[in-house]
Amino acid sequence: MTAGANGAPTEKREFLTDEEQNKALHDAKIVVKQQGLAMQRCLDQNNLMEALKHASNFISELRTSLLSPKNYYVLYIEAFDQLRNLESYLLEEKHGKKMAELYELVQYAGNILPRLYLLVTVGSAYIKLKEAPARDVLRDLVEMCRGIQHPTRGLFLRTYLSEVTKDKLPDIGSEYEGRGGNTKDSVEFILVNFTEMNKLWVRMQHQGSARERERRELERSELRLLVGKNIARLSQLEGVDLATYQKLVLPKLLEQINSCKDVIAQQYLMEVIIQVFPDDFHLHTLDAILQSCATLQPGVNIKSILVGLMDRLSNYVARGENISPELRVFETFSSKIGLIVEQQKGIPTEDVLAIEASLLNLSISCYPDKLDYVDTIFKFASDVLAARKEDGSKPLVVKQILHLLNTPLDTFKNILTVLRLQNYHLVIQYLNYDSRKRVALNITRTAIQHTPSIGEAEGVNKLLEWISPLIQSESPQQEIIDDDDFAEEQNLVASLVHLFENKDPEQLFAMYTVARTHLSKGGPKRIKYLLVPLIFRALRLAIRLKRTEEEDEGWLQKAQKVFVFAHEVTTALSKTELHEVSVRLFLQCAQAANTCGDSFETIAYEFVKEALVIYEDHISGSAAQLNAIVLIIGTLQSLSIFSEDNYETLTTKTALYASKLLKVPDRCRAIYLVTHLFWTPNSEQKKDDKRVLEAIRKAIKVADTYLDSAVKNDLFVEILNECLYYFENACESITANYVSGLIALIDAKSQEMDTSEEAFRSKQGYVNTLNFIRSKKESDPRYGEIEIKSS
Amino acid sequence: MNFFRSVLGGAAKIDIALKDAAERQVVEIPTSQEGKTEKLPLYIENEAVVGSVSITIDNSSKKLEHMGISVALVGVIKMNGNIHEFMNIVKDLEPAGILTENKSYDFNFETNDRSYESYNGINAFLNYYVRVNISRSMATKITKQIEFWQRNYSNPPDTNSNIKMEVGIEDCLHIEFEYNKSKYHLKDVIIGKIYFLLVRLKIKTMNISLLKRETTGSGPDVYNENRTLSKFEIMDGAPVRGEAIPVRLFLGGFDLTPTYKDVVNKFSVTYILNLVLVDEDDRRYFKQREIVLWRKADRAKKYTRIEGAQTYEEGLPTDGGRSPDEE
Amino acid sequence: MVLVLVIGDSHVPHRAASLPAKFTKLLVPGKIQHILCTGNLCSKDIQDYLKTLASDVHFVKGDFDENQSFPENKTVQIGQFKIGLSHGHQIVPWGDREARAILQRQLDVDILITGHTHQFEAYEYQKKFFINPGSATGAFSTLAEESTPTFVLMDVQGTHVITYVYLLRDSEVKVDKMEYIKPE
Repeated sequence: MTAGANGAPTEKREFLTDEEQNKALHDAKIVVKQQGLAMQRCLDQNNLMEALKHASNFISELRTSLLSPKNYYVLYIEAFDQLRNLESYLLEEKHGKKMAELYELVQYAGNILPRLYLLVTVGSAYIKLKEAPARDVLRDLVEMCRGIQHPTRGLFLRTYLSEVTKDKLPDIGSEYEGRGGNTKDSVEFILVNFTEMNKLWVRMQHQGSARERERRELERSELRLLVGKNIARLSQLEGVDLATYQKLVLPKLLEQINSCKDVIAQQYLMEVIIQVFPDDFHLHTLDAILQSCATLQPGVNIKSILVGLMDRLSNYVARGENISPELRVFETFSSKIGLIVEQQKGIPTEDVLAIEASLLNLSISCYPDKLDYVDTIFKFASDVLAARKEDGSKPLVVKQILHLLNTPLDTFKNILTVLRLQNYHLVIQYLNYDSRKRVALNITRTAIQHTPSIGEAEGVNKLLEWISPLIQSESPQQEIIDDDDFAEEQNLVASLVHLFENKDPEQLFAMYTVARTHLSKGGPKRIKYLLVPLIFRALRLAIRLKRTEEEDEGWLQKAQKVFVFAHEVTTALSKTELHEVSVRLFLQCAQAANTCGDSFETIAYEFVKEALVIYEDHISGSAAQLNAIVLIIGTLQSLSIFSEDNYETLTTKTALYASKLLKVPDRCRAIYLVTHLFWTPNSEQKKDDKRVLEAIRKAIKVADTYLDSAVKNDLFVEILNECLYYFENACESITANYVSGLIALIDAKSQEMDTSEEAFRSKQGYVNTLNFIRSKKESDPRYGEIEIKSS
Repeated sequence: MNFFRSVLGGAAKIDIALKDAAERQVVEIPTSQEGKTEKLPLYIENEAVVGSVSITIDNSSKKLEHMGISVALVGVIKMNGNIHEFMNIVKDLEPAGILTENKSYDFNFETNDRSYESYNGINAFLNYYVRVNISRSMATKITKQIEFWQRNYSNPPDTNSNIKMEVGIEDCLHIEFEYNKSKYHLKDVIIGKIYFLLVRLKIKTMNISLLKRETTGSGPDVYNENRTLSKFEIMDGAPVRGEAIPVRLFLGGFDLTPTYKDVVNKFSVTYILNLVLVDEDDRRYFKQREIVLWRKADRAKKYTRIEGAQTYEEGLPTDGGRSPDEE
Repeated sequence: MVLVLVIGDSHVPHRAASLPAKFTKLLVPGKIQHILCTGNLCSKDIQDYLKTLASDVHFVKGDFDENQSFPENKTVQIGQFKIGLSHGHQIVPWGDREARAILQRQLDVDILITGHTHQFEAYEYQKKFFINPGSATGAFSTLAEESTPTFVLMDVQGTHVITYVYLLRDSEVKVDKMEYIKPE
């Protein structure tokens, strides 16, 4: 080969400035328009030779190297429209020439680009007029186009080829099938064109200086659709059935993708393949697709490819399609993903997890019953996390782990299903405490919303282990801020206790025992929330056992055990400054024991005693004391279990505490309420009417010491009403006479009252009371004896 | 002249008419005057040249005294101002005497060997004439000739292997080119492929040009005249290793002759395909290869070139004149 | 037509995990004008939830409510009715009609609403109306292992109140109705 002399050095081409580009584009467009018009005039005069000359002229504008791909595209479209006019003229056959002649004729053009554009145009008409088999023309055209090796120009020429022949491909049902060829010919044509376009496209990156690489790659990306269209066209061929796809189309596509070794191209083309071909094809070619993923260039976002594929298949199933088990879709994905992750060391952990999340989705949609598949995924994920020494410090990784962990919750809903997973919790440990807490909250919420019940101690154990970040702080030193959020979170966990259910009381009790172990771990601020439900559930269990007394002789022992349990848990609470709650809970325990019958008198006594002890030792503050006393009175009044001695001890204590209340109105009210402990309608035990009278008198005395006359009047009216209660219920010591006396007393006292608004309201209560008596007088002669001075 | 004619034995006019002139195919040949062409009757192979000669005696002299009238079939080669007759077949029409009336003679050159084709070249020309001579003793002879155009068909070559060559510059460019034949008829299509085996150059474009080389003279005086008949772009842009670029060149549109080798030992016409690669710095790399052209007996088919394509071509420098050099 | 939701003693999470879904499905924002809550909701969640249903929500303090800002008793005027609200654990003996009548007289109300017993009640006594909406979750009480989840919706029209009680029995919501007319 001979090297000629050095020519004049040409300046290295760089892309022009935007302004220069626009100018160049503008000028070129004008030429295309003018020459296009000239061509059209010649065509109108049926002067094909001249017309071809003008066509060649405007096509020559596409020989430019000055334009960016985007601007080149604009120019291409301009020329394209003009060429379509030429083609329609050719199809009208006014020129009187054989297409074979024209086909040769245009090949005399000295410049290759105009020559090939014209050749494609004539070739297209050649096929359309059926003067030659489509197959032959297509083969020739796609081969001749190899002459353009300039990436942009070649890409657009081949785009032109692809565009003008798209409706002329021999295919099943197409008019060009048969003598014109068959689908296979079209497939081969498109594949060749695709391969060449892709090579050109990939080569674009090497044009120009390194300094503009970034911009160039951006521009290159903009052209990807041109390449991808070929794949779409393949998918549109009727005759491309599964077998053709499997044996011909896909292998060729993958071969090109693999050999081009270009990140942008590989990424894009894989995604296009997944996008355009039917799901059914993918299902039968998973091996091939996934295998080639393993060999893609580092830097290709394999995640998005795999996720795209799996999400497609998931949707396919979601639309109600079935996937044959013979396809072993899960196994294929699972093993190939393993291979890909192994070979593509550069895939970030978050991407691996995202891939696994998609596989999880797929697995759940295709094989809803295959829990072991789900488990496999969690095992894989935890292995990856371990191998990569993840510690929950990368937000993206954490996000993916959370997503992975949430998916079974969101899909299975029922926590029992999730609890059956062996490897689920392995993944949790790669999160930091806060994230673990989020997972725990989600597990808890899901359990509460969707799980009817949990029936085994083992399940309880597992669940509470999984959500341990909610039950226990990360370290004992961690300070807990007991705000609304904390309360909400703890209440949620507390609610879980109500899910533990089993018809067999012993098993149920076993679950409570397990729960208690877990729920006691979190210190005062947590057990305040977490232990209370356990106590109520235990009390409920005791009452349930009582109902089994007919059929289960051992119920008593069992119930005793339960009460011991309740006692222990409540005691644990009471030791942590939670005195008011403890008082209430002990009283609840006592009520439950009462419901369980006489055998539990001692236990009930113990409970009330505990409440009284806590009251005495720890309840301070007059409001708290009044609340507690009122509750103690209410409770004791409702209990019927105690022996006379025990009852006497408890009521005496209570009356004593009542009389020690510091505030006069509190003391007064507590004292008149205590009367209910001495005398209760329909009770044989509580019939000490003397002590009622005694207490009422004491209450009046206390009230009378109070200085605020309005409140004092209230207290008197209240006491009057208490008396009316006893009168109504025929408590002997509260006579009509006594009531009349009290009314007279109030009337006398009310003279001293001021006339403030409060006083008026208080007076309304008195008026109501008197009206009540008056109305009673009409139906009950006993009331007739009560004297009311009219006012 | 007229005066002498009348004085020295009379004057006459010669007309030569070829038989079937109306039906015969004609060939349009450029003349030495630029832009003008003349139409010549076409004779194929050894077709008999048949016609008639009419002698018209000038009215003033009434008679023509002559030393004999003859018609000749003449083949000449004109080269650098020299004329060489390589053929001259004479047929006598009339022995010496006096013609007193106008007279016509038929002639028929039935058997003769016109194995050389008519050729109008750059420096060399080969032409055939029918020439009538009236010899006279005292005056110059009266002569008249008409030219006809000779073409000969060849049989398809017995062997016609393809051309395949690997050429290149070490560690820089290796290509292999392949043309489907080594011998092409004049309406043939050259089909070929250029394989790029190694590309380290930034190639901008690749052309194929068809060169015509006319060789005249011999020995130390040999003279070559090269003309580029066509410059044909076959590739635009830089290929990479492994690319194969198709070549398809229709010859029918060009004004070609067959390859002539040592015509009467005077001149040769050969055709060369020149493959030229141009890199981004406008350096040119080329490889020439002779092809043999031959005329095939078939219907003439003529296409017009798309003239539009020429506009660009004219603006580019040609690589004609550079000496061919094979590796 | 004024709709008043009467609800309480849900005891979430002490005694139940959440309000029954069948109830929350019925309780949609924008229909109810007032909510009267008898207390012992226990968690702030349900308080917040009720506030999403109506703008006018009244709470009183149950024995297991930690919120110290809730009053022991409250009266609310709705249309022509003065309504009293109290949890009821302060009324001794618990659930006693006479004892409740005392509070009614004291508060000077036409309707007295109390809770605590986890048993729905609605009755007229001494020409006044008494309602206990029961427990919205059917919360356990120490008197019985289970109770029926209930709440009450009052439709107040002039001097009429139509009381609808919603019961969740065998996973079905049932509605009973009774009417009270305020005496002239």
